[in-house]
Amino acid sequence: MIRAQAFPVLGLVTASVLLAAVAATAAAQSAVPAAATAPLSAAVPSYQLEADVSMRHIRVDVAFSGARLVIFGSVNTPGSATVDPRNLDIVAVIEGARSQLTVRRKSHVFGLWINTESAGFAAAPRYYAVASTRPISQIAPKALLAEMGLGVDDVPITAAVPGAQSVPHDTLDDFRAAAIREGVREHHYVRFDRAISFVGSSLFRGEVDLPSNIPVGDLDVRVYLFGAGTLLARHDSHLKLEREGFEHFIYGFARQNPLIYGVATVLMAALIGLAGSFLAGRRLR
Amino acid sequence: MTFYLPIAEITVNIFVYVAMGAAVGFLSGMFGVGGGFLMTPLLILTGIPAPVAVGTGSAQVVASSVAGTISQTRRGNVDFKMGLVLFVGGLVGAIVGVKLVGILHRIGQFDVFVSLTYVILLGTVGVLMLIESVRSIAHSRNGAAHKRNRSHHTWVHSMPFKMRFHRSKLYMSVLPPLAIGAFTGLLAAIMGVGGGFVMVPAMIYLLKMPTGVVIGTSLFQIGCVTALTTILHAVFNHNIDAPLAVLLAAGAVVGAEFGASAGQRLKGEQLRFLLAALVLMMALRIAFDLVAAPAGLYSISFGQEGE
Repeated sequence: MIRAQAFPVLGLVTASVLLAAVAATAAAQSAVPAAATAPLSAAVPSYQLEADVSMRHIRVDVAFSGARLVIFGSVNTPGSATVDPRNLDIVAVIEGARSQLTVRRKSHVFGLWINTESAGFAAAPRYYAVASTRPISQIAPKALLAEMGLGVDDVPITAAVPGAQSVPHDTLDDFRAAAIREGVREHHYVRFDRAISFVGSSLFRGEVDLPSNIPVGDLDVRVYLFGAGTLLARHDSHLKLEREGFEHFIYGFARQNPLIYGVATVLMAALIGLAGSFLAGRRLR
Repeated sequence: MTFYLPIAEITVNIFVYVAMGAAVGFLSGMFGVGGGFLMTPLLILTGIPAPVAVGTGSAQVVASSVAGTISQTRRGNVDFKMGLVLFVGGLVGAIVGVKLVGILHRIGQFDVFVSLTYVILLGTVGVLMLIESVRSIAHSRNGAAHKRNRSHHTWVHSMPFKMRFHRSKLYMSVLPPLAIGAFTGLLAAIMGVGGGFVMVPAMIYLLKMPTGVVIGTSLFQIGCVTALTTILHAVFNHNIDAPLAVLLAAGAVVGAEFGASAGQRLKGEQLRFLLAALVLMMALRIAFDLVAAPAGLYSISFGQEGE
């Protein structure tokens, strides 16, 4: 009997605690985006961010097998205020050239799995890496990250190509989300949590290994400084992957004189065939 | 030892691709097929972008079919006249095929069409060859000196525009070889293969050519067709990786020679049985991909739509 009577009381207490907790969380959640809408407001002490990458040019030659990129920089406050890196976070984005992206979806038709729907997006990065001092979900609120297109969950895949999709407009977001999932699975979109760390009080550095199949061309490197869930400063730099020597020659040949290149390839293949059968013929005799 | 491929834009191990070329070359030398229907999927499997795999695969087929043609010529197994007739048909087929590819891309069902065509063609050809070769093997086991029916009175041989093909010991109309050539040219353009797996059985069963001559002649014709498609790919799609083609070709020519010698030691019906098994395996593999639930419903591709 006593236990039965205790239940409603206990229930009431639990409910009120829960309510209070929910209210507190809601307040906290609404507080962060409010700050986030004015990320560079003068209310916080102004920080200066300087950053650079270890290479301006990456030579893509026959021995190219990816490259290790070092991202480094420093955080300063003008005047006497000291920087406490414990409250600061660095997020670096390395983004390759953008191109059109087609996303296809399979369905089960008459017992066969075939591509039935597709959506075309005007521009998606062919390579997108995020390196940070800790997982970015801990650095800034989700809404801000989404708004900035920061993080592999929010890779900026922009504007569907008109007429290039067979799907209704409202399912386009599903295709965008699927594109990011596939991009992550195929290592086009990668994250390096905790790849960047502070050295001393104001210097930071981090290393990112660029894969060998990274698209040749321009790479944008954007470095962001976060503190207490808000964006404090940003610094952009660029680097370029360039074909050199033999790679440059073959690529240029294939693009500029495709007919001669094709004929030359066929002749070379035929020559290899001739040489092979000649050598084998001597061996057999 | 690694190498960065300029067109595929990926770093690869040289020896993997030389070995792959050798393995496919061995089969192509043995059966008189170009090996494109094996090489292209293998290249895609190892991370070469699909368009580059299709284009570069055809360049490799040029090398192994030149090597194969020469060693078959040495054995007197090439009917150049028949090969040229087939090639003329192939030219027409390739041009029609290129147009058809454009139409199918616009409809948006290119992949399914290719997969289904593969399954139906490979499946039919494989089953027919398997039945025939098993029967032949059973006949020769029974001790009966089995002679293949070389009757010249089928519908195929009662057509106009007759021509004499000495090597094949045939006096027949040029229309059937032209049609077979056109059909394989069509396949070459659509599927990025030489079409040997269709042409070899067609020459054996429809044209009634001797198996030995069929292999040499089909290699000759495949060499001509793939030389053409390689140049077309280079001009229109920029998807030929010449260094990769060299790696594959170097392996393939060595493999082709060993394959041709191995083929000499086997009887015609045994060769046909093995080719049938290979073709059927490929058909089942593609059919499985069509029927089995995929790992993911979505797939992505960068670049222009339909590239």
